[in-house]
Amino acid sequence: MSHYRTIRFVSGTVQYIVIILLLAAVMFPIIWMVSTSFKEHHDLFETPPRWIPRNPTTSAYQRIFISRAGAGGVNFLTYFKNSLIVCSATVLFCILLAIFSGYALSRFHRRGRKSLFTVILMTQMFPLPMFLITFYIMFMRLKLLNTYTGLIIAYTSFSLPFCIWMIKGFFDKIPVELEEAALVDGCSRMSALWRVVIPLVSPGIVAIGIFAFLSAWDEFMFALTLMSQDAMRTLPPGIVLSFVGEFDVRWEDMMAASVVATLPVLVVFLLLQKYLVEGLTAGAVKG
Amino acid sequence: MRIGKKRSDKRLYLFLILPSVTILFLTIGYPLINGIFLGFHYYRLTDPARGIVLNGLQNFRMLLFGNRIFWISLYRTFLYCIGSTGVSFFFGFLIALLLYGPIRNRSLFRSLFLLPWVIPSTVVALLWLWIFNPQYGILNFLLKDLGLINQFQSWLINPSLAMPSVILATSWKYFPFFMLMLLAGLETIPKELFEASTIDGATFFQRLRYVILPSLKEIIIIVTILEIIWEFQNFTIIWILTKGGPVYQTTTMGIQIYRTAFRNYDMGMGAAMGSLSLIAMLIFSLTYIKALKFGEGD
Repeated sequence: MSHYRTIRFVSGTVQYIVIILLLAAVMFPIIWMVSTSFKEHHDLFETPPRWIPRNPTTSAYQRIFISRAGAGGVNFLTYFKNSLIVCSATVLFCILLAIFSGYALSRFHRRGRKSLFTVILMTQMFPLPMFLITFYIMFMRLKLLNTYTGLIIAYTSFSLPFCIWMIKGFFDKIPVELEEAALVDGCSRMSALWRVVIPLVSPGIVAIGIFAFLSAWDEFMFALTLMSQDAMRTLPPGIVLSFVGEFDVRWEDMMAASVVATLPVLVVFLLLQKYLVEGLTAGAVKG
Repeated sequence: MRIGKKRSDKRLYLFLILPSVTILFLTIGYPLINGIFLGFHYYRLTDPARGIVLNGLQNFRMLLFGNRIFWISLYRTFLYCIGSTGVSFFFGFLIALLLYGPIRNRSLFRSLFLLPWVIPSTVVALLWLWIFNPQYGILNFLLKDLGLINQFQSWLINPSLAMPSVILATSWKYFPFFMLMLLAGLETIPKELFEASTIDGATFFQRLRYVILPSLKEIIIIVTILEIIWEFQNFTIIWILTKGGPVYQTTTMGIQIYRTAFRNYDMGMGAAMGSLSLIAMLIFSLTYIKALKFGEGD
């Protein structure tokens, strides 16, 4: 392991201390969020603030799950449900479409890694607010405003190019000979794809699934604009519109809602991070 | 049985690729063309009686020469992109270098450093809104305890602090992306290169200059350009933290287009601004790629 030592520009102990300091700087907002969510409202304003709540309480968590009478009975759970519906459908469509076209691109344009990346880069460059304008007008005419379908269409189309690029990287690694052997054994092209190739790229499928899920769970601008009815809102605009702009902001409720909104992505990420990491780096890093 | 040679393979290819191509055309190609066209029209949602009326270059003339908001927002976008990409690249690269090699608890550290990247943008923005709170936010207390500030600051209200604050929140979310990709890149550098440079007695900075940076060049170009493009589009964090204020300090193009189209309901003007921002982004990223490729001869 001698080459590792040579890359260091400081001694091992100093390096460790620097890592710990940076980690503390990176983690403090997260710790602060969790800490705030377990506080009573009046404890928020004591000085100096305490990192560990004086009287830890789950009352903020209880409040966000209770219907707010003034807001037509809609509560946090509705936003959560809407987000789950939209995100799962987006993941499903992205995986299906990306498998088909990623496989086709990989088998028929084996060397197109860079040009495909350029095309994807171009689609990322198109200004999203401009899309929002045309989507809004289109959806207004097609009566797709305030529907799950509208948001699912939008999210699928934004994640799809990147998903195709990622999964193509995985297909590229599977030798064509494997399929040809299956064809010799009497498989059709489609059954060779389903039985031989798909199982081998399953890490890639997980990777694009997570990517599509994280992006859809994260999206704010389209959800804010295309869903104007409170009952149809997803989590991001739901939380923002419930808490921001009030005269007396309930920070502890806002942070509790934030923690709950983060949990699903955190669980998905912690369980499956190695697939996403592999997927992202497979495309970009030659190895 | 060679794959990709027969005519039936052509048909299979079309069958596999057509659904995605159709969907992407309908949801990206068509709206893009439609948006560019809309820029040449008068269309206000508040004026349905008039509907969509062709008005030539009037929107563009108004944006480019009518008032300075377009130019201000272009400049602000530029600052925001460069600032947040620069800061997150610096910390991402630094942490990648620190985590490269056999450190105790390395994979735990990596997962912990990745956390901000997983947290939804909305949550990141709300969290920093609370951290930046002028009276009770933790940032003022922390910095005062460390002796870095004398008095509490109004981070998002003070015109000279608003942009740096928004950049700080954005970089906190996005530095892990750089860390992840650069760490993966570092691991593909052949050991022999490091060993050779050790024998030659190279210092760390010489190694950085002659071994690490050249090996990582392609990936650095890819990740920085992606990040610049994403930040060019970023709306969530800025909108929640400042709504583009104070005055126009954090009004990027995305914010201004949204304001024009969905606060003033001027869809035509918003679309025209969208076209201009697309042109700005194309010029910017092409220049950037060219500038980096230029040094390839060394």
